[in-house]
Amino acid sequence: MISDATLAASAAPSGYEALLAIDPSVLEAIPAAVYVCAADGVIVRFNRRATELWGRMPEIGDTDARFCGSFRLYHLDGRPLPHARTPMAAALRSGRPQRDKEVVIERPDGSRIVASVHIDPLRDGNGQVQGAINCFQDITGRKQAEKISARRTEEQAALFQITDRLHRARSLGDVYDSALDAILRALPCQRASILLFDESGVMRFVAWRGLSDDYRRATEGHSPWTPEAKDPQPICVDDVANADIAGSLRATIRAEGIGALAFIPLVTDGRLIGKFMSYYDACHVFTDAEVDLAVAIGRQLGFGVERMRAEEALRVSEARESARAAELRTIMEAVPAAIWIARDPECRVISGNRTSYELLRLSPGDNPSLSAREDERPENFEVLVDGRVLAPGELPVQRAARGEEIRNFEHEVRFNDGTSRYLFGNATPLRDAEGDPCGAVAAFVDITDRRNAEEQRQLLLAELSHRVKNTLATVISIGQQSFSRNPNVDEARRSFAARIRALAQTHSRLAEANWSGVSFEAMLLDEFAPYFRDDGSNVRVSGPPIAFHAKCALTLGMTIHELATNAAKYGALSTKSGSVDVTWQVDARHRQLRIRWTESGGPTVSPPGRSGFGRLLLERALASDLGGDVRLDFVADGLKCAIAIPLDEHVARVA
Amino acid sequence: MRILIAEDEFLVGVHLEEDLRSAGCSIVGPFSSLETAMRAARRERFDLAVLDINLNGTMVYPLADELSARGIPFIFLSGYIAADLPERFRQARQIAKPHDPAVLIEEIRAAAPKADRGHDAPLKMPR
Repeated sequence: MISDATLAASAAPSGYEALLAIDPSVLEAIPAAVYVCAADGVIVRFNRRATELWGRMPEIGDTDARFCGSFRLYHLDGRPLPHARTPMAAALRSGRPQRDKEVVIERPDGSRIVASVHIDPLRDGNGQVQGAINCFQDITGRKQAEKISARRTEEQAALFQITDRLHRARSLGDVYDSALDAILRALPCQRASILLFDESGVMRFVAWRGLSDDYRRATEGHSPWTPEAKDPQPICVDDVANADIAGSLRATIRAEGIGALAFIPLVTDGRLIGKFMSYYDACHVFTDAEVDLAVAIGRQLGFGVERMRAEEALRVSEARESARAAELRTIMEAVPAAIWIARDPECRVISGNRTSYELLRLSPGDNPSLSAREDERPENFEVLVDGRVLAPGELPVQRAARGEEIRNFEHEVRFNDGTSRYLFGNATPLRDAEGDPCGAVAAFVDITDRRNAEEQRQLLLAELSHRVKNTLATVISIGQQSFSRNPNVDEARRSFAARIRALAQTHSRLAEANWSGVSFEAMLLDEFAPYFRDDGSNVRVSGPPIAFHAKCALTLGMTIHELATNAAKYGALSTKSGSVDVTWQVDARHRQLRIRWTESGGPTVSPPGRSGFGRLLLERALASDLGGDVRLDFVADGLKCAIAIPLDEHVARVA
Repeated sequence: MRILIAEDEFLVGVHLEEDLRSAGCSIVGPFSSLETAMRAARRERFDLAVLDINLNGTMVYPLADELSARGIPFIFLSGYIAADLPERFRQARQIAKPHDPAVLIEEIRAAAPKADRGHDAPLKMPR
């Protein structure tokens, strides 16, 4: 007999049993692929959709193909998935549901789909796992869409990243790195390179990833476009092996292991500046989307290179500017002239080099402009031309700042202490981009010393002229004296000549001493020279060293000449036994020079008749020119002459 | 005619003196410094002055200015050229050193015609 419990137990079938017994049409109605496995994994029920997804119809009860009706299974990453490790097997083993697991089903014809499986174990009344049911779906399309979406996201991220990195790039190296990263991230290539035209228009590698030195050497310079190409388009070579490329080049490319490549032009301002290349290990189909993306990257790269070049050029230009400004500054400071610069047309502020501040006796920070504001203006000097003070507007810098060219302008800078410096130079306008004067530059040399020297020279020349005239007048006077006093023309001529020679001798002595003075002793010895006896006993001179200044020396010289000549003609030097003794001494108390001329042993003398010239000199010249006092005594023994001359500093100096 | 001479070169002064005496003039001086010449000029009576421009380094211009003010004619005797003279004296009578006696007498006559026709003997031309 069947017991109630057994009946009861067998009256409510388990899910598993229900499914086993279910009408096939129910399974077919479910809008999903469905199959049921027994606890040991044997497939016991399935619907048509399942066979469509599997691509085959399994045998019910087949113990060889368990857990899944697929021909082959893989993980999503492509690793093989044994049937015994499938989610179904896991569900049966663990008794736990498997939800949203994804596997790759390979059909017998080799095609693959991605399936999402949804498995529940089926338990009996006692909770024992009797089997499991799997609802699975083809999510290949979704997966594809997801992949494409992910791809798009990557691409956008790559574009965003390159834009961001280029914005922050500090060098061309940064630019190239950012671009290569973006290319390799966004495009499906394995290698990439960037090339730019150099100064001679040759395409050169500037950055690359994954290329050998040989490849680069061999392909450098090749370019599908010339630098002048207008609107160059990307060139995609999807199969290097069969492309229309020169044989040697093709061999090089293939030796590098490149199966496909693309040339993407880099254009800025409508000008081709280079290209980037993407390299594919295998043949590759280039989609429009990929090419568009590559072009977008190319555009960013082009901008980046251009901007970096511009920045570089600016840096170089600024460095050059800076160097030139430093050079200019150095020149300004080195030049031994005063340089002034006004940078505004009214010359409210003027700056200059160090020489200019020193000249004007200002400190380097001061504003030397006389056109400056009252509280800024210098107050220690005035500027004059020909003795007239100039108004600020008449000054050379100010005039130049109005557009005038000033050349060879001489002016005086007179300081408050009365001293002056004289300047000579030029001023020229500075012009703005439109050519209007906006300031001025002036360069002036200090010619004060030159002027002083010139003045001195003029004075000396006038002085020279004056002296020469005086000397000639003196010669005529001596001539007058000589010829009017002596009726004997020959004698007159001889004594005239002798007097002129004496005058000349004094001049020589003066010249020797640079016109500073003549030694009295030297004058005496010069005049006595023709009359010395061999033993020198007929002339004696003695006294302290005294030097007479020019005027007095000349008068005294002529006087001594007359005295000596007379002594030789009529006095002590005209006999063998006669002698002349000249002594002098300085009377410091009375500030006088006392000279004694004593002739002795000569013929008896009487007051002279004809030697009027000598007396004229002694009695009048010495008195008027030298302020001296002369006494002549014609004693029987010989002439005695006593002369007292005041020792003014313009007369003589005691050496 | 009485003539005052200022000349610092003794022999030149003596020469002038002799030339002018031969022409019939009487002489005041010669004086070799501006000081002595000015003192004499204020003290003495004379009709004309012959002035050396440079008297031992001092210019004779102050004396010339005084004589101008007093209306007494003067002649510069000079080793300087006209351009070296101050503006106001550039047109004054001057003869060069060394002097030509005939030229000197001519200038004196022209400068002081009234004196020449005065009670003193007329100027005699040098030989």
